[in-house]
Amino acid sequence: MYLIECANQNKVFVSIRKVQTEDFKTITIKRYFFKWKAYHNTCEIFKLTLLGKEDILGLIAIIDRPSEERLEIKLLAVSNENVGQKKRYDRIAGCLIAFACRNAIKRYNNFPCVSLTPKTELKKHYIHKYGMFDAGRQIYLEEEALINIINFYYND
Amino acid sequence: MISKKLTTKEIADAYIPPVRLSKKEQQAADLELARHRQSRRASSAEKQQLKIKLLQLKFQLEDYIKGEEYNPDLNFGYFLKQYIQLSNKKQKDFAEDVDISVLQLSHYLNNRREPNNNFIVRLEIHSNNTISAINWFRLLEKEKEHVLINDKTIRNKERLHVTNTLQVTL
Repeated sequence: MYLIECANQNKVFVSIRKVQTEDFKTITIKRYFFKWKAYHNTCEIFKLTLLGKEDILGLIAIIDRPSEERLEIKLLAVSNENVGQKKRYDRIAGCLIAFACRNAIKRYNNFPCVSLTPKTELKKHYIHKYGMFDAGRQIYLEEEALINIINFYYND
Repeated sequence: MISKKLTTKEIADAYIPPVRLSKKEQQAADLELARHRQSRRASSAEKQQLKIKLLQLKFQLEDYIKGEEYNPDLNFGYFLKQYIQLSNKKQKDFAEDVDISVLQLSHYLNNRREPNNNFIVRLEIHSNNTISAINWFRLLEKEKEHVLINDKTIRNKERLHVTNTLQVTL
């Protein structure tokens, strides 16, 4: 799994791991935009770093819904230097979503699903970028669409 | 507040902001999603199901061989059994598929015999390259590594066959 360094289009490899309690010392609202610690008890939170490095470039909070074979993305953010036109790395959010998709398949083997509740104005962007299905208030990935995201972001 | 300088596309590329719904709204949204998924499920083919199950096994195998933990239950026989089950095959039929005897397959499933390279390549081909021979090989290596690190009796036994040990310590 890799990011693209925007300045030179080089691939840089990444890993995604569970956030540890001590990580919250460096997970500030200024850099990661949301109050992540507030979600620590209700969500599983994962961090994306460059391979072998500790600096966190992106975060995702997931809620497991076992009865529906579904992982719900509660929130996601890339670090502030990777937002907008001047961002350093591309593909961070996609890698985190693909990680959620891979986890959904690891946990559920009938109809694994990844869903999120989008802000209305962002919905069409997620649908367009990730091939999500529109279920009204929520949007989701399952079956071929879920596999496509994994293949796209996990194939080196 | 998300910066107003960003376009909605840039915001969507960087964030999935949390959306707060009331309990009632959340229930309605979940029901709506469940109905939508249900209607898609009705048309889902058996082939798609097999694909998901195969991918699940592949990811479990990949993460196990990459991880540092060793679990004696997650051995070659375990993963092979899972593979045969998801293929919906009887052991006899699977043995025929990969051109080995039922007895040989039973030995592999019960970890009584170590599979050779030919067999793990046949597994790769049987899965249509979804689970690579190299990952089956790494699984076997992980078991061997554990034995090599922890088996003291083998060292005591083999010491009897070694003379003229190099007189250096590093």
